[in-house]
Amino acid sequence: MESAKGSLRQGRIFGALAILVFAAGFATPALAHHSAAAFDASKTVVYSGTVKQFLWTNPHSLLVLSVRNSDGVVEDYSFEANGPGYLVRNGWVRESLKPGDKVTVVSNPLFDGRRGGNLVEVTLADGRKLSATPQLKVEGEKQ
Amino acid sequence: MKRGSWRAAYAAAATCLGIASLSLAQTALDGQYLSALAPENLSKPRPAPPFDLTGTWDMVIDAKTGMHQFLPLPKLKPGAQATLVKYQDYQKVGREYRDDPGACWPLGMPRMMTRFWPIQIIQLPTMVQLTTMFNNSVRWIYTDGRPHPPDAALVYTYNGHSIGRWEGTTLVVDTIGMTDDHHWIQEGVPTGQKLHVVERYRMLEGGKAFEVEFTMTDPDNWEGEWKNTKRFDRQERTDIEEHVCIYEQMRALPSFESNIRE
Repeated sequence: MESAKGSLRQGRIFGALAILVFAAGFATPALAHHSAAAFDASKTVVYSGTVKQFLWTNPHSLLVLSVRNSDGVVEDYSFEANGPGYLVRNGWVRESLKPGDKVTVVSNPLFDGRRGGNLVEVTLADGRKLSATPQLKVEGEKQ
Repeated sequence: MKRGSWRAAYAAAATCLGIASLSLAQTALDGQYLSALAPENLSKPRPAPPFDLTGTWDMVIDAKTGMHQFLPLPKLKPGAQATLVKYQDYQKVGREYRDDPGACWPLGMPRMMTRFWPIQIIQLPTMVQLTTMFNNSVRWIYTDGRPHPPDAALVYTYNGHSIGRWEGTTLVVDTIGMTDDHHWIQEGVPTGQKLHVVERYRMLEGGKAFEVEFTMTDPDNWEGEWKNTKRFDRQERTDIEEHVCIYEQMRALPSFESNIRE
């Protein structure tokens, strides 16, 4: 997948930035704590930026990423993820994301266009990818 | 003088006199029953139970019975139906209508039984203690023969008051006393104070799994019995961990602003 810097503001797409929006390329977010109605699971958006904060907590982890927009202004994006219990199954550890780390994030955007979304995957500076999508045992349907 | 007033008077006297050994248990049913953990109660002769639920368990996500929900829905009463329609209408535009657990309200019974996080059960002769990892929420299911408390003493709570009895090879758990405040069966379906949940636990596959048949009635919100069966698998290499919902943290999540709070 191609990575790009991205920023969505009031539904406007900044021409200088390549925002990649895919149709249902990833599994739908599975936020067991509450529903994922706020996120558009049919779309993914990619952002590159610097980790400002990473909360490794239940019921949800939270990544705050500082992203430079087309005007050169740094804006913070908030990405919601599942709790550590699911992330560890995908190879995450508490310090997978540290403040200052340069990472690329794949997310399902918020319907209302605010900065942030549901965390789908992170690519670390060394190229390693960490999925934030739960690996589920599901009876009765293919997953 | 009422009992509560006596307690206050004792407390005041104890403070004045510097008495440090006075015990005033702040529970609604203090002194009513022999404690489930009292040696005298634990050692009473009882028939051996047909199975032991002690263990860590994960609910199996089953699309046929509604994944994390209880499906199919019963025929909802007009008020509950209107709430559900409102929920569905908001969902269509990317909003969540009254996602109270998203703002750290407890899930309560029976929704607490259906999350991704595991459930720890410790079975004693007098009580089954069930702790969900989600919110570290606890149920004490008394199996020592006590009844539900009288209505006048009942404290309405999210998990309610549970008593269990063995019927053949089934543990039948009866739960009443659940609050209607910010308490939902599932998204869009509210609960009332008349909610009554009966769970029938059956062990499967020689102790590797169990199933619970939920039978829920709430004449204020739906017609007849709402039935659903969930299955739980034993987890041999899992223990539950601290899990606390903190409002300030939840408020920082990007989804929070999409939550319609009323």
